Amino acid sequence: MPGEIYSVLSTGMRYWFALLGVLIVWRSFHWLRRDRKETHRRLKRLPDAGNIGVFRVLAGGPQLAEGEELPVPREGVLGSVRTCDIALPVSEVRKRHLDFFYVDGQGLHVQPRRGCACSVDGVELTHRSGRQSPLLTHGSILQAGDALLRLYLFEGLEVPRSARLMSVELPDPPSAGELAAPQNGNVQTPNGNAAPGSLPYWAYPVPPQGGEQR
Amino acid sequence: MKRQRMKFKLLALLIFSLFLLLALYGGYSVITYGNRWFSSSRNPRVRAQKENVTAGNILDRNGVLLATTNEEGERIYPADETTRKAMVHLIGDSQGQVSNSVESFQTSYLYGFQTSFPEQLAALIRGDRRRGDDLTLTVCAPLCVEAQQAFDRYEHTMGKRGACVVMNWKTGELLAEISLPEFDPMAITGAVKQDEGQPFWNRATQSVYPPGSTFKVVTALAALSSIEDAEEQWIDCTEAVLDFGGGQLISDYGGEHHGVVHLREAFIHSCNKMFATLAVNAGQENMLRAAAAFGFNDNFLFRDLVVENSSFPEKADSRYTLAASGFGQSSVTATPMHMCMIAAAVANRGVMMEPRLLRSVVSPGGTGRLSYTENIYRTVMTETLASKLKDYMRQVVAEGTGRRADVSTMYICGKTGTADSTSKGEPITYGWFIGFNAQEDVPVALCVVVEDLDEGTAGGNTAAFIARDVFAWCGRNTELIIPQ
Amino acid sequence: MKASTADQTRRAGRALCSAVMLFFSTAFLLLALKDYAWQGFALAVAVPAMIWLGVSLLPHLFPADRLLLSLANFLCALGILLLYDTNPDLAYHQAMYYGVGLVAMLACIYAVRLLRQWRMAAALLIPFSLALLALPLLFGSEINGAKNWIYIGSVSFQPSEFVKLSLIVIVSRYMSRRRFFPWFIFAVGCLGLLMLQKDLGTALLYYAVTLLLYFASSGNWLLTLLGLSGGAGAAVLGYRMFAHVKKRVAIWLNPWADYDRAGYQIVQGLMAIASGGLFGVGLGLGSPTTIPIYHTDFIFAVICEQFGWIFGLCVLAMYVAIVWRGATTAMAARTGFHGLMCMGATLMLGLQTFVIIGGVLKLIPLTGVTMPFVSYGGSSLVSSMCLIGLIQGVASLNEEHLQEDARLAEYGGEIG
Repeated sequence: MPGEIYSVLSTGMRYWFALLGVLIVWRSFHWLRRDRKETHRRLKRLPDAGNIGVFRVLAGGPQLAEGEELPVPREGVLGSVRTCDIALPVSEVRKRHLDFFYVDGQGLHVQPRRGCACSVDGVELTHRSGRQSPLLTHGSILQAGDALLRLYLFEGLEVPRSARLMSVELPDPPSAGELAAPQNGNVQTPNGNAAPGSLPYWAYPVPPQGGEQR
Repeated sequence: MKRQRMKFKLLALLIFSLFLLLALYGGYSVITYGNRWFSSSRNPRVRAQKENVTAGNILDRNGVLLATTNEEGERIYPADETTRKAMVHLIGDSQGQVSNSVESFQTSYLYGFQTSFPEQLAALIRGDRRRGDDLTLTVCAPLCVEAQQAFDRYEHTMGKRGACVVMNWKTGELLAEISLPEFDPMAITGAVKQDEGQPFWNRATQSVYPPGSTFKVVTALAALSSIEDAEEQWIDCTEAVLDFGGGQLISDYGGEHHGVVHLREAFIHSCNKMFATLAVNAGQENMLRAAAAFGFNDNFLFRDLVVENSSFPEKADSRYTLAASGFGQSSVTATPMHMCMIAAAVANRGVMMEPRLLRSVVSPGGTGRLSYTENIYRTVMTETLASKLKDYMRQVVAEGTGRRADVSTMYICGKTGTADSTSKGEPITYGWFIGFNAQEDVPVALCVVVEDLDEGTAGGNTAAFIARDVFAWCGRNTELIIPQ
Repeated sequence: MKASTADQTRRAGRALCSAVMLFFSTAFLLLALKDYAWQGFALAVAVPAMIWLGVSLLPHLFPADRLLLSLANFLCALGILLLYDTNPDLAYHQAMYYGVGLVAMLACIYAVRLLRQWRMAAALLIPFSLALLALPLLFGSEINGAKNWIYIGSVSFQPSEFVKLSLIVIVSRYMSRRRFFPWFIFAVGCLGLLMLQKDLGTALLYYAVTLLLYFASSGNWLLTLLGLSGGAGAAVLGYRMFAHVKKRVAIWLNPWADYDRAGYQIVQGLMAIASGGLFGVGLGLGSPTTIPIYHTDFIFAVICEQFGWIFGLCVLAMYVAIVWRGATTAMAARTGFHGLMCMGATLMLGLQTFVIIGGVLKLIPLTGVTMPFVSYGGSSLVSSMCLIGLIQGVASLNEEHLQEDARLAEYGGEIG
C-alpha cells in the first residue's frame, strides 16, 4: 500500500485503538467492582465464611462477658489488641498472645509467643513446644492468661478421630445436656438459649444421614 | 490474619499510589517538556518527516517572507541580505547551527506534525504533497534591521558584540531580537564556523551577563518594600569609596561624587554607594525576595522561546557581596531578554507578560490553528510601586545618566548600566540600557547590551544611543509594530 | 439470583474478550495492509483465536481467573503486535514463548492447588534455586554489564526470573510459620548472588518484595523501617562502589549532558514519548526502531509513540487492575501462607512494572528489569505467566473454600 494512504489510514485508526483501550480498561474495572460487590454479598450471606467454629467464653474479665462467643478463623492471632483475629481484652493476655491455625484432619494448633502462658486441656504450652503439643478439638478448653475458652467446631468439618474429654475440673462446669462427649465421630451440638430461627446454622442438630466426613 | 489483610490493603494502596505518581509525572513531563524534547535536534523523526513534508513558511508580523521551501525542497531565506543577517538568530538556519530558533523549536508546526486526521485525509484526496503550517511571528523585520544598524552608527559601538530585545509591554509580543555578531544563513562558510566571536550563539536569550546598574531597579523595589521611609533615606556621597569589609571598596563610576542623595537622586544619577547601602540595609532575604519577584532563579519554560535562567545568589557570602549585588555585580546574572521583561513589567503597572513569538499559525488548508494570546507571567509589584519606579526611570532619561536615550516626541523611561566582569581572564565591561516608552499607543520596552566597552565609555553613551534610535523608529513606524 | 450474577459475569467477560479480540484483529490487519504480507493476515486471525482460546475456553477446563487471563493475554498480544511491527522474527519467538508460558501458568496453578503444605517442596527449593542463581556466575555470558544470562544451545535463559518464584514461595512459607532463618538466609543468599552478577535491578526487586512481605506478615513497623533504611544505605554504598551505578544516576539526573553515548537511551525514549502526543503517531508509522532496546526495556516508549499517551495510561491502568485483583485474592486467602504468596506475586508484578516505566519516564534511574508480559524475552514472559498462575491458584483455592462454606451453610438448614 502506498505510503501516503497507509499513513492517513493509520492516523485515523489511532482514535479507534485509543477508544478500545479505554473501553477495555473501563470494563475491567467494572468487573472488579462487581466482583467486590459480589464478595460483600456473599460475606453477608455467609458471615461465618472462613471460620471453623467459635470459642465460648467460660471465664473472662470485666471487658469480656461470660458466655460470649468469639468466631474462630482458620488461621490467626489471639491477643488483647482489637486487631487480633480473636480479641481477648483480659488481664495477663499479651497484645499478641498466641498464633493458631487449623489443620484439616487434626485440629486447632496453638503456638504461644515468647513468654506467653497458655494451656490446652490443662497441658501447659510454651513457646518452645513443638509439633507434639496437644491440639484443640471440639470441646477442648483453652486457657490463655486469665481467660478460659471452650472450642466448638462447626458441623461438617473433619472431626478428629481421637477426641478427648477434658480431664480438669472447670470452675464453671457446663450444665448437663449442654455438652455430650463425642463418640466415634458422632458430634452433637449444644442447644442455644435464643429463639429458634435466629440461631447460627451450626446450632441445629445433625441430620442422621449425610455424615460429617468431607 | 486480619492484621495481615489490613497490611495487604496498605501495600496495594502503596502500589496504586506509585502508579498514580507515574501517571502524573509522565503527564506533567510531556505537557511541560514535550515540545522541547520533540524539537531537539537529535530527534530522528523530524529528519524522517522532512523527506515527506514541505516545510511551511515563516513570515514577520507584516507579511515579510522570512523563510520558505523552494521547489527543490531546500530551505531558503528570501529576504535581502541585511534582513537575513538581522533575523538569523530568531529564525535559524537550515543546518540547525542556531539552537532553539524558530526553524527548530517550532518543528511540530512547520513540518506538519500538528495536522489533524481530517486535514491529512483532505490533502490525500486532493493529491497534494503534504505541507506544514505557516507561521506568522510577532517580530517586525525592519525593526530588527534598524536595531542592528544602530550598532554600526556610533563610534563606540561599531563592530562590537551585543544583543538587543524589543517587546510590547502590554501584550508580551516580541518585536525584535538580534544578537551580534551575526551571519548570513544562506552563506554558512567554514570561516563563519570558526569565527571566535561565536556568531551562531544567540546572545539575546542564551548569554547571561552581570546586569550592572540596571539591577538597581530590583534593589529599589527591595528597598521600597522593606525599608520604612526608604525615600527619606540618604547618604552623603562625598567620600570616594565605601568599605563594606572583605577587602574591597565600593566606588562610583569614574570616581564621581554625588553629594547628599536620597533614593530618587541616587537612582537618577546611578550612585553605587547608595544602592550598596540600601542592599545591606534591606538584607539578603529582602533582596532575594525582590529578585525572585522579578523572576530571578526561575526556571523559564516559555511556550515559544527557550531562555536561559537568570540567577541571584541564594546566600550572600559576605557583606561585601550583598552590597555589590545591590548594583548588579557579584554573582548576579541575567539575559538581555529577561532584563527587557523587567523593564516591561515596570511599564505595565507591575505585571510581567510572557514573551511570545507566534502571532498566528495557519494550516495549509487555510484554517487558523493558533492565534495570539497574552499570558501573564508574573505579577511583580503593586501599581503604586510600579508608578514610583516609572517616575524614577523617567527622570533617569530626562535629567540623569540616560539623557542620550531621550526622544522628544515620546515619553522614554529607562536605566543605564555599566557592568564589570572578566572574560577569559581579561577584564571586560558591558554597557546596558533597559527602558520603555510609557505612552499607551506605542507600548515598547527594550534592552540593549554592548560587550567590551571602550575605555571611558559607559552604558549611558553607548547602549543609550542605540536605544534612542530604536525608540525613534518605533515612534515613526507605529503602524508596523502595533495593530491599528 | 445466583444464576443472574453468574450470567452477568459471563456477559462482562464476553464483552471484554470481544473488545480484546477486536483490537488485535484490526491492529494486525492494519499492519498487514502496510506491505500485504501474508503473515500479517495470518496473525490477524491467529492472535484473536489464541486469545479466545486462552480467555474463553481455558477457564472452562481449568480453574483460572478470567479477568487476569484477559488482561495478561492482552498485554502478551500487545507485545507480539509491537514486535511484529518492529522486528517480525522476534514476534514469532515471542508467540512461541507465550505458548510455553501458558503451560507454565497452568503448572503453577496446579502446584498451588495440589501442594498444600509445601514442606518438602520449600526445603528442596532453597538449595536448588541458589544453585540455579549461581549458574550464570559459572557459565554465564555478560550482556550490558550484567552477567545474568546463560545459553542452553541457542536459547538464552535468565535464572533470576525463575528464582523470583521460589523466592516468593519460600519467603511466604517460612514467614507464615514464623521461622526466621530459612527465608532470611535464602534472601540474603539470593541478593548476594545477584550483586555478584551485577543485576542490581532484580536485586532491588527481590529486596523490596521480601521487605514488604515481612511487613505484611509481622506488622512490625520498626523493623520494616530499619530494613528500608538498610536498603537505602546499601544503595548508597552501591553508588559509591560501582562505577556504572554512578553513571546511571548521572544520566538519570541529566541525560542531555551526554546524549550521544551514555544518555542516548533515555533521550531517545523521551523523544519518542513526546512525539507520540496524546493519540500517538499511528501504528506502523513513526520510528520506533530508533529507540534503543525497544524490544525489552523501552517497549513502553514504543507504546507511547505508536498509540499515544492515553493508551499508555490505559496500559498502566491494566497493570493496576492486575494488582487490584491480586490484592483482593490475597486478602480473601484462607491461610496466611497463601495470602502472602499471592501478595508476593502481585507485588513482584506491580513493582517490576513501576521500576521499568519509572526508568523510561526518567522518574527513577534506569535499571535492567523488563516489563511483565509485554517485553520480549522467554524467561520474562514465562515467569510473569507463572506469577499470574500463582495468583490464580490461590484464587481457585479461595473459590473452593467459599463453595465449601456455602455447602456448610446449607447443611445447617439455613440457605442464604
